[in-house]
Amino acid sequence: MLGYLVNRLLFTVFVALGISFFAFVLLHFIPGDPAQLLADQWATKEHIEALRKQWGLDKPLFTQFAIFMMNLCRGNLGTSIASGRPVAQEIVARLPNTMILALAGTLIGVVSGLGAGILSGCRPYSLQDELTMFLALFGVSLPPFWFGLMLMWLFAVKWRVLPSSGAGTLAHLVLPAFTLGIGIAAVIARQTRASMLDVLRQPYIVTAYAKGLKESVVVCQHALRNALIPIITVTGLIFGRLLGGSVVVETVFGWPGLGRFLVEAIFTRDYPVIRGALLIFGLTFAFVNLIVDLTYGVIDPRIKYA
Amino acid sequence: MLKKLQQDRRAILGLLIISLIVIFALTVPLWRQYDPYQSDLKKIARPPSKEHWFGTDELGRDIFTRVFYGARISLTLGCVSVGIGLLTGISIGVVAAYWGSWFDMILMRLIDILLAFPPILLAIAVVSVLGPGMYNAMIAVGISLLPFYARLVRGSILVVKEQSFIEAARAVGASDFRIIHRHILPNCLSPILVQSTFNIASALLTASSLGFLGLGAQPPLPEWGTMLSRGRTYLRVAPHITVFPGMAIFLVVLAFNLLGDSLRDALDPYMRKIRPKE
Amino acid sequence: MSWLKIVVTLCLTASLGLGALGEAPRYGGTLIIGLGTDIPIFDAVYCSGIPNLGIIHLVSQGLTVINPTGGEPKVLPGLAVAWEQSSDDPRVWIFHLRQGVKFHDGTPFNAEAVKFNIERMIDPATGALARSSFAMIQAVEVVDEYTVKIITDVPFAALPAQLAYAPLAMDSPTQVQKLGNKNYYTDPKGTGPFKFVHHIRGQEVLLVANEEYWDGRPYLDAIRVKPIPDTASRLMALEAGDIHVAYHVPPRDAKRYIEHPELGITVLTPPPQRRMFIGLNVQWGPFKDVRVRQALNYAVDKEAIVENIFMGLTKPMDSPLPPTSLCYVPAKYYEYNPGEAKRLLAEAGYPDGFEVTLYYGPGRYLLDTEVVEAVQAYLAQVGIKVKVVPLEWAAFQAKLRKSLEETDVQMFFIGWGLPTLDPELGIGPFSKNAWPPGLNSMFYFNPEVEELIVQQRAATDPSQRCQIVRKIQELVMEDAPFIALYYEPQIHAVRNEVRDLVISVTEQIDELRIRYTWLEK
Repeated sequence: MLGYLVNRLLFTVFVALGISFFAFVLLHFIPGDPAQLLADQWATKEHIEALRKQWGLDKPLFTQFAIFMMNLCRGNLGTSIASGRPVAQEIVARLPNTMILALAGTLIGVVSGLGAGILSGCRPYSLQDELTMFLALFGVSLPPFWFGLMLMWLFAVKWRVLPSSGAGTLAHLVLPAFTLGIGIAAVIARQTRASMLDVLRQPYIVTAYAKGLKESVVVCQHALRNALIPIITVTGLIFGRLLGGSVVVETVFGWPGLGRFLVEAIFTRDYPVIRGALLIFGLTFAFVNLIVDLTYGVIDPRIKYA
Repeated sequence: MLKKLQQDRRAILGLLIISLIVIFALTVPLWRQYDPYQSDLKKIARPPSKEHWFGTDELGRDIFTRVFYGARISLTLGCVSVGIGLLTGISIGVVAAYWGSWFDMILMRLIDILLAFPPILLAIAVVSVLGPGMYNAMIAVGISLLPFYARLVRGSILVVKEQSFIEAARAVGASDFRIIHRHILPNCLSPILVQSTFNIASALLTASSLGFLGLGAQPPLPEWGTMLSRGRTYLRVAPHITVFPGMAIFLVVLAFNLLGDSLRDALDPYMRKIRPKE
Repeated sequence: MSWLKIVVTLCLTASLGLGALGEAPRYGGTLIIGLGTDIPIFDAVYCSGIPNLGIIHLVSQGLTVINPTGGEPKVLPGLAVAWEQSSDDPRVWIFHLRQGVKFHDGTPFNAEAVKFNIERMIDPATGALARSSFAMIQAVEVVDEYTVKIITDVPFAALPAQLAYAPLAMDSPTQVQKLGNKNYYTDPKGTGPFKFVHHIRGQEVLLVANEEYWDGRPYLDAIRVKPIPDTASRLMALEAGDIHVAYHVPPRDAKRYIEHPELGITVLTPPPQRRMFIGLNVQWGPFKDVRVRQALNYAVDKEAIVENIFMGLTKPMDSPLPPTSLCYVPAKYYEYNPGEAKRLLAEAGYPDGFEVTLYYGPGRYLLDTEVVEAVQAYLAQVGIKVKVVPLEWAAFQAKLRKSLEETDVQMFFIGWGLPTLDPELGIGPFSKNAWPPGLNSMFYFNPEVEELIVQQRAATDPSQRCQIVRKIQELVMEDAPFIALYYEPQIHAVRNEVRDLVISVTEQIDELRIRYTWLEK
């Protein structure tokens, strides 16, 4: 078990290196110069060159990468070009917001998705099942930015019951979390139903019924546990999708999260921020995957990590 | 299998929507009343009416016409991206599975890195290098889909590789290429088909998200996501500019998902469940 | 639809009148401002974006201030109350400072402080973003406690206006030295009517009233600035009452507010200073011929653009300078005349027109895509096939700054602001030394204009200067290195509870009048 853990942690480090290098190479080819974008209209060539020098942009690519890696080992993610603040500080200011949104969305998604999926799975091919699955298909097909805008129009413009953008109160969280949550609920509902169906066909379930156990007991104690495994895989993938999907939702609702920050940094060519944010996203995803895999081991004692 | 499909309501609905849209998209130059690129400054942001079924957009162009011209763009975006992802992904998967050992391990770790990025972020990263635009968006989305196919094909090959009929084929003297071609790929066909259908839907979503963020197809191209983002400033005074393109995205994505669902159920007995992690 | 302009003027006059009708200002309240951008860093030296700098100026003020109405005199006293150019040596300007002013940390404001701040701006080691705009300053000398001498490298008529340019602000030397250049933004101390409390990036800036402000305690208790980049959300917040002031409102929504006074929102339209035009690379193909360039100007109906896209809230461009600028004259207006355009094109040898590519960066300017597409349509009518290529802003900028040998730019849509309202920055770029990587992506060069630009810079007599500038405007309009379109309208909206808020022609909240702004109820 320990060996597996070490292996995976090493892999996470490898992922981090890979992402950093990938980002570095990519950024080198983007047209656009942050010095030019930030300096005012009348800046002279000499001034822009001086700014580039100040931000270390005049050095060759490998030197920049080496400096970045050295700083990284010391825990320094660099300094944002646009704001002059340490990238780490900027990320720390925003990452919790993305996490809150992701968690709220996941909560909504998991609760409604699991519930709908279990109900459907227990009564396959009934009217309720067909309806729920059709709704789930809807949820999976909805473009989040469109859905978010429609919700915003309805609740914030027409009916004025919720704020349209920004963050700060629970009310602000409702619309963006719901927009995210619907898509997730849909995926979880479908997966839950599928694995419930798989499990409910198993012989030991029939035995449980034969023993005279009530349906709720059968479902909760026996079926669910085994159905959970594929659901957990999907949840892991979903979390990754959340991080990405939040980019769009954050933009629509002006939610001050990391996704939106990354997109803005790309537009202003704030290289240190882009690198830092991509790194954090990648690491978070790898980390979540690790947790998911370990959770397998807890739920299914048959899985051992050599 | 086809018989089962015919009976499945979802497949029928999905195929119906897709064919309708394809037909409309292909024929729109013949029956359209308005030029999708012709702006009319006096008719900006008019609500739906008899002359303009979906209303006019921020430049006075007819939205109905633009939505259907946009259908061609969106369908192209979806299919070409999946095509790119499929071809590159399969090639990588085949190469990895066949060469095996350390080469395989490195390739798969690289694929894992690609998988570490949520697809939209990956697409954004690629587009910021290549620059925004429809073709670059297709490449970006294609790259984000690549890992699925690579894993799928590699997994399939690894499972099938050990089976006896492969041994038999080798014994007869069949070349590697022939073996891949004749024996391995057809077995992977079903999951690829199902996955691709879903991938067209997700490629469409990603591509229109890119358009929404300003990184995909650029105006004046009537790409649905781009149209939505242009209409955002008019949400208060003219919500119809965002409603119709968004609904179009939704319908097409829904159709492909319907199709994918029924394909998967139809192929169920033949399909091996390939776990994404092994 | 200039009826709209009349209505707006009437509304403004009426509200001013109502204000005068014995409604006494009251103390108290927090003004909440919704900006379209997030202030990157609360230090004028490192901050970009004029509305952002405007907020910083509520804390750290300027030596001089541009007249918010764009009228005469263009330059008003700020922390400097009077100034004159030395008669012996025109390179020397003498500024007399306001007395009895203290920074928020108690440090006295005096000539030493001015010297410190200007030197901080021009010192390459500081890395100020606007350093080149103050590069003409060679030295700053302290004459006595409240008198400063600023010496420029060549005689510079525009200096007082230049000092009003937003990136220059007076900060407490003690505080800057204590925190260091790079960290000053964490706790800035200026002389302004409001003191800095905090800046939570992406969420808000909080300022509180300065009880000891030199012009008296402001009526407002505090100011909150919230970044709301999405226009629709910003307007929703305004209508819901979550913010009191919304920056940058689209013309259609402004029209709605004016037509529906029951919404309780007033529209503010400070005079414009940004010139919007399609730059033409005069070194490329057909554009080498002035007749072709003029033809393009006749081909586009600017009135229609102004009326239909901007609801009549601005006017067509008839000079390389905005109407608010010093020495502006309506030099030449190319009225809509497609017949004349075709005639000129034929005369120049292009009776069937030609193909050309137009670059722009969508989303940067108000309704830019709408304007570009309108221009494309107009040019098509005279046989010019325009291929519009939108680029992401950063890529667009990179393209514009390529040198003559490397560039492939033919036409581009751009706006040039003029925050100092002075010809120096306004027509200065129409010269060869402003060729890329400078602003002059038209690669325009007229030796006569070049000579006149140097002359106006050195002119010590204002009326003589304006005569020179008048000639420059006429020459440039005649040469037509661009398709002159319009001046970008400035449209903001405030809730009716907000009284006496002035947004300047420069797009900044006027730092001298903010102290008089008050909130009803």
